[in-house]
Amino acid sequence: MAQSGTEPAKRKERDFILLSEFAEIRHGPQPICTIPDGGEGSFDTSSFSVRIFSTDFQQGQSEEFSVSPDSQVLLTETSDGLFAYVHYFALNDIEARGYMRQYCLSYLTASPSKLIDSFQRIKKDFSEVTSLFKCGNHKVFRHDLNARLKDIEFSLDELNEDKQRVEDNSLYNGCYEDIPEMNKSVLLKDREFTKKILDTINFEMQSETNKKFHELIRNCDSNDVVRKRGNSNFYTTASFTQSVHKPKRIMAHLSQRFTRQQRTLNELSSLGYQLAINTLKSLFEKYCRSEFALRMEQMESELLNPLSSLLTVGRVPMINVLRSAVSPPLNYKIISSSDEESLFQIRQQLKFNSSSLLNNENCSSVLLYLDPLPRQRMVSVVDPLGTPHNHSLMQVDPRYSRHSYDPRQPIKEDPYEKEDLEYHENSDTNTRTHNGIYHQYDNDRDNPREWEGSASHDAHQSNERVSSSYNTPDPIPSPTPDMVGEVHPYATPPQINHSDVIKRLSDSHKDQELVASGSTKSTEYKEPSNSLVIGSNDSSRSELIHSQPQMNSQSVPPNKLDLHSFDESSNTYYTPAVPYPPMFSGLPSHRRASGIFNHHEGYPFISSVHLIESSSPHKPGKELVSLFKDVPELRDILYCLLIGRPFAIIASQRDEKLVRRHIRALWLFVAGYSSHHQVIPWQEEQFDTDQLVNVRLVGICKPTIDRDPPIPPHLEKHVSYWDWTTNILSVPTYTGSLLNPILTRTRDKKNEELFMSLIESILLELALKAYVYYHGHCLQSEVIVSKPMSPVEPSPRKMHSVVKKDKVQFFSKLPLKESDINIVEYFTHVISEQQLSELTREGSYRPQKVVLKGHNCSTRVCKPKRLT
Amino acid sequence: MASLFRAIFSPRPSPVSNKQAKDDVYQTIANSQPHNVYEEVLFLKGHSGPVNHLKKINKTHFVTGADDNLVVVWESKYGSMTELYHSYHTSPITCILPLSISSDYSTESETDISDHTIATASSTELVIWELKDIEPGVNPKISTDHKGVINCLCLLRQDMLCSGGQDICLWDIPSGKLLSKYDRSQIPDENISEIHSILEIEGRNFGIVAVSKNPKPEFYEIKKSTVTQTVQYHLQFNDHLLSFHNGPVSYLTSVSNTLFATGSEDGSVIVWSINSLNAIKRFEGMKDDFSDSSNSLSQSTSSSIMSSTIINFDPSSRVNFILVLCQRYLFVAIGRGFKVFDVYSSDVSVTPHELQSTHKPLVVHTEAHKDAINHMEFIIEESMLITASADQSVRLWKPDPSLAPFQKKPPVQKKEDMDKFNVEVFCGIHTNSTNQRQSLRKRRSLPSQTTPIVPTLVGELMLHSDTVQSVLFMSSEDGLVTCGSDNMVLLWKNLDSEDEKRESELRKYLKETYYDAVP
Repeated sequence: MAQSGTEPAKRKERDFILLSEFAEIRHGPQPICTIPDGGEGSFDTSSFSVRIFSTDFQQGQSEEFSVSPDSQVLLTETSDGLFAYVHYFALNDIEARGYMRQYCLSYLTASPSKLIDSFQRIKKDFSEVTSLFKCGNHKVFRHDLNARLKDIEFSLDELNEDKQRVEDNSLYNGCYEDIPEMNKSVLLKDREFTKKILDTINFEMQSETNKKFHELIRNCDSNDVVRKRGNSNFYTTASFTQSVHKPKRIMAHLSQRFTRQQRTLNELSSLGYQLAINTLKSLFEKYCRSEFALRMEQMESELLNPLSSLLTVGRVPMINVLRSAVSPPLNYKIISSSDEESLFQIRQQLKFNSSSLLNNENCSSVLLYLDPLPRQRMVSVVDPLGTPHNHSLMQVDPRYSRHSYDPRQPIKEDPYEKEDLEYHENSDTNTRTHNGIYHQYDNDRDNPREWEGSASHDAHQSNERVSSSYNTPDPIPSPTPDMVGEVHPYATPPQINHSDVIKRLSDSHKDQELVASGSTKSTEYKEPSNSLVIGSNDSSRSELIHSQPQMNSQSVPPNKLDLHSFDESSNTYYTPAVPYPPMFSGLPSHRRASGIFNHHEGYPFISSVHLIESSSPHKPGKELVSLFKDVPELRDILYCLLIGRPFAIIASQRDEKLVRRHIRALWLFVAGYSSHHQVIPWQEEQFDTDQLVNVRLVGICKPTIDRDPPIPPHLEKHVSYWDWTTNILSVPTYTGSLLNPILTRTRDKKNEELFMSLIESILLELALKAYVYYHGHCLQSEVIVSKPMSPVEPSPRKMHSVVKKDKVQFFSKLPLKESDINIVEYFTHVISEQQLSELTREGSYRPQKVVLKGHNCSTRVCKPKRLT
Repeated sequence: MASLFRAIFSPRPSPVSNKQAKDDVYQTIANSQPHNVYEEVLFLKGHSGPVNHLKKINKTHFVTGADDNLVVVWESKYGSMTELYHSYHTSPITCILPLSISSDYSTESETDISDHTIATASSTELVIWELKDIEPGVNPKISTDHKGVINCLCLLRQDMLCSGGQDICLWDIPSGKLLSKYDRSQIPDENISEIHSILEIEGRNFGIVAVSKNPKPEFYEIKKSTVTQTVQYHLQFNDHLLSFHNGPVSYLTSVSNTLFATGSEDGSVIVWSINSLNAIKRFEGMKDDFSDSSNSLSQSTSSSIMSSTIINFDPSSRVNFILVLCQRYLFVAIGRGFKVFDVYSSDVSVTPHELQSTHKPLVVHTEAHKDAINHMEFIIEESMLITASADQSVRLWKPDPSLAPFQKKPPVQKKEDMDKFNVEVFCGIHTNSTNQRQSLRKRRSLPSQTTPIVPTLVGELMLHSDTVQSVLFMSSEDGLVTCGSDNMVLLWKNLDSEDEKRESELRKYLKETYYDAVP
C-alpha cells in the first residue's frame, strides 16, 4: 500500500497493539484492549475500530461451513499520524450469526517503514497469535457443537415421546399434529448441519499447522488456570471437560432471542486467549523497538544458520563463517547524521558489509594474496568465496532448522535468559527444571498491570535512549575493503545524564539483590528472579551459569528430559555441540550413546542491538565501565578471556555480590555458546579439573579457614586468577594492538552503551580476522609431509615447524601480531570445535578435551573497584 | 656382616654433592613452553579408582587397570574407551600383561587388536582374555589357584605364563590351565617375602629370575619332562644367584639377550649375566664422586641383609624404575632424580673385560622432580625423556642445548642405528667437538674426562591431581598417555598436528555437506 503524500507528524507516544471486535449485538465495532495497557494515549481507538471494520469481512456466500482464513492490511492513512498493520481473523461462536465473530489485531506505529520492512515477520508472528486464539476457540466451539447435538437428540426423543403420549391420549383430536412434525424436520436438518460443522472443526484441529498450537494449549495446566481465575465467570477448557452437559429441549418453532451478552473473547478462546495475549505482549516488546534494531535483529538471526559455524562472543552472534552474510548497502545518509543510534547503525552495517566483502568475487584476490601456498591446492578444498555456490549456503540445512532463530525468544526482557513462556504461565509451582536449571518465577506474571510495570518500562527507556541525540562525531571514513575490521573513531563521547545512569544502576542493583535473596514474593513484577539459576533449590548453592546452553522446553517438557544427557554431578545438560560425557564408568561407549541426541536444544543468543540498548541488569557486559573504570589491567583480563583461558575471581564470602557483578560484566568477552564456555558467577567449591574443560569464567569463594585452595596446585598453571583477598592478579600480558582502544576509551568513558558499541566493533574486527584465517588458512593450507623413505617416523617437531611457519606468514599478511594472533586462533578453534561436534554428533563418544596453551602470566597488584 | 654394619652405621651419602648441585638443582619452567608440543589433553574417563597400570597393546591401543577392579582397553586416536573392558576381578588390579605384544608398531595392521590376548591379575585371580572374545556370555579363563596375591606376570616361551606372589605358578595360555606351582615356603629363608617381579632367562638353563623384598634375586629352573606322553613342567629353586645389593631389590628388567639388571632400594643397580647368573657390574646410583667403583662389587650374603626387618632405606635413593634402551643404556629413576648408565664402555667395542670398567653415569639429574619418579619413557625420534612422578607432574627432558649442534646424523641406515643415535644424542655422546667438551668440563669444573651431563627441562605436563603412576608414548600422531592415582587417564596430544587433522576433517565435511550438494 502506498504511503500518503505528506508524512503525518510523528507521534511521540510509542507503538501499541489494539485488539478489536465487531460486536453484532448492541455495540458494533469496538476495541477490546490495548497492549500495553493505556498505550493508545490520546488515540481514538473506537473510531479506528469502526474504520477497520468498515469492510465487512465475510467468508464467501457458500452454504457450507468453513473456517475463515486470516487477512492482513497495511493502513498508512490514519489521521493521527499512525500507521497500522491490521490482521483480521474470525472465531466461531455457536450463538453468533453464521457462527462467526469478527476480530482484528492492529499494530499501530508512527513509523511506516517499520511495518513495511517487517511486514512478513509481523504477519507471521500475528498469524501465530491468531492461531492460538483459534485453536482455543476450536475446543470451545466443538464442545458447544457436541452439546447442541445432545440437545437435538434429546429434543427428538422428547418429540417422539410427546407424539406417543398425544396419540395415547384419549382426548386426541388431531389439531396439534403439525407442530411436532415441523419441529422434528427442523431438528433433523439442524442435526445434519451441526454434524458437518463438527467434522470440519475436527478436521481443522487435526491439521498439521494447528497441531503445535493445540499441543501448547494441551500442555497448559487447566486446573491452575481455573484456580487463578476462581472468581471469574469465564468459560475454560477445564470447565468444559469437567462439567457434564445436561441436555435441554430445543423449541424450534419459537424464535430465538438474543437478550443476553455475547461471549467475550476470553470465553470464546478459553486457554488460547491467555497464551495469545502473552504472546502479543511479547510481540509488542519485540516490535516497539527502533526500525534499525529490528532490521539488525533480522539480519543477525540469519547468521545463526548453520549454527555450528557461528561465532558468538558474550552470546552475541558475531559472524558465521559459512554464511553469505546479509549485507544491506551502507546507508550513507546515516553517516552524515550525528546521533548515537546512527553511529551504532554504521558499525553494525559494517559487520555485514565486511562479511559481504568476503563473499564477493573480489575477495578471491584478497584470499589469494593472503594464501602463501600455491593456488592449486585450493582445488581440493573448500572454496570460501563460493560465489557460484552462495545460494547453497543460504539454504537452510534441515539439520539446523530446529535451531532456527525463534523470533519469540528475544521478546523477553533478557533473551539470553530464555524461558518457556507457555510452560511458565501455566505451571503449578514457581519452580521448575529447565535444562537442569531451577527457575523461580512470579506466579502473577500474567497480570497485565504488573507486566506493564516491568518490560514495557524497559522498552520505554530504550526508546528514550534511542531518541536522545549526541554531539556530532568525527568524520567517518567510507567503508572500503581496506577498512575491514578497522576501528573507526565513530563518535565523540556523548553527553549523558549521570543521575540517570546512577538511577539505572541502582535499579539494576536492586533487582540483583532480589535475585541474590531468591525472593519470589513481590507485589510488583520482577523479571524472572533469576532464570539462569541452576543447581539445587538450596539458595546457598544455587548458581548462575550464564553461558549454559538451554533447552527449549517447549518441545521437551522438563519431566521428559533425556536423562542420558543429564550429568547429575554437575547438574547440567550437555548439548550436541559438545561431546557426550561418560556417566556410567565401566560401561562401553556404544551402550551409553544410544538416544542421547533425541531432544533438541535452543540456544539463547542476544542481538547486538539488544545488548547495547537494553538496560537489563542481567545482560553480559553490564556495568563494565563502572566496575573497570580504574583498572588498567582490564585489557589483560579481556585478553585472557578472549584466548579461552579460564579466569577466576577469588574473593571472600562477603564480596559475593560484587564478584557476581564483575563476572556479569566480563561475560561479554567469553566466546562460544556451548557448554564448554560456561560462566559461573559464584561457587564455593574448589575449581576442579572438569571445569578446566567447561568453564571460562568463574567466581570462587575463598574459605576463611585453611581448606583446599580455590585453585588446586596442579591447575595453577592453566587458570588465571584475580585474588581479591590478596589483591593479586595473575593474567597473561597482552602484547597486541587491537584491544588497546578498550583501555584508552575506558579512561574517558561516559556512556556504557557507546563503550559497548566500541567493544562490539573491536570484537567484530577480531571475528572478521578469524573469518579470513578460517577460510584463508585453516580450510586451505595443507601441510604435505612426504612419506619418509626411512623407517623413522617423521618428527612431530618437523611437522610442527612447517605449520608454524605457514601460520606466521599468513598472519603477517593479515596483519596480526603476537597476542592478537592468539585471539584469532582461539576464535577459529571455537568454530572448528563446534563444527566437528556437529560432524561427530551421530558418531561415537569422544572424550572431553582441553587445550593447554602455555601463556606466561605476570603477577601484579590490582584492587577491585568497590562501587557503593 | 660388614655390609650390614656399613649399611646401618655409615652416614647416608648426600644425594647431590655441592659441585653438582650448581647444575643439578630442581628446575622450574615457565608456562610458555615452546618445545612442549603436548598442549591438548583428552580426559579418558572410565575408571573410578586409582589407575596404577598402563600397558601398550599395539600402535593404537592401550590397556589400563585400576583399583576399581576394572581393566579397560582404549584407542589412542580419539581417546575412546573401546567395548573391550571387563570387571571379572573382585579386587584391585595388581598387574596387566599384554601377551601378544609386538615389538614393531610401524605397520598399519598393528591397529587391529582382535588377535590380542591380555593377562590381568588381582589378589588371587588370574584372568586370561582374548580381546576378540569379549562378548556377552563368553567367559575368559579365570583361575584362583594362587595362594596369595599375584604381584607380577611374565610371558614365557611356548605359550606359557608365569605368575608370582607368595608362590610361583606356571600357566598354559591357550587352555588357561595350571602347569606347575612352586610353594616358596619350601625355601630355607626366614625372611622370605612375596615375589614382585619375574623375568624369563635362558642361559645355560631355562628358567626365571624372581625378585622380592630381599637383596638376593631368586632363580627357578623350569624343567620339562614327559610322563606317559604328557608333557609336564616343574619349577625348581636354584640358589645360584648371590646378593650384591645392600638393600631389597626394587626393580628387575631385561637388558639384552645376555644381560639383565636389578635395582635396589639402596640405590644400586647390578647388571647380571644371564649365562653365568653372576653380577658383572654395579652402578652406584647414590655415589656422586664418580670414582671407579668396580672394586666395590662384593658379595653380601643373603643372610646378612634382613631386608624387611633392619634397614629402612631412604626413599630418595630407591631405584624405582629402569628403562633400557638399545640394549645398552640404563635410564634409572632413583628417588626424585634419574641417571643414565652405559652397560658397556662408551664407544669401544664390547668385551666382557670392558664391562668391568665403566661405572660413571652419562646423564645425571638428581632433583628432576619434587617427589619420586615412578615411571619413565623415551621418545626416540625426539631424543626426549619423559618422567612421571609422585609430585603430580610429568616432565619432558631434552639434551643440554649448550651441546648443540650435535654431530651430524649418520646417513640413514637401519632403524636400530637411528634409534641408537637419538638415544646417544640425549646422553651427550655425540658431542664430539673438542671445544664443546672442554667448555662443558670447564663449566662443571669436574676433573673427569667423561663428565655426566644434565639434561634440560623443556616441558611440564601438569594436570594430574595425584601421583602420576605411569606414562606411555603411543606414537607421534597419538601422543602420550599418563595415568595416576587421581583416577584419571590423560591422553596428551600435539596441538598443531591435531589442529591439522581437524582442519582436514572439516575440509572433507564441508566439501561433502555444502559444496558437493550443489547441483
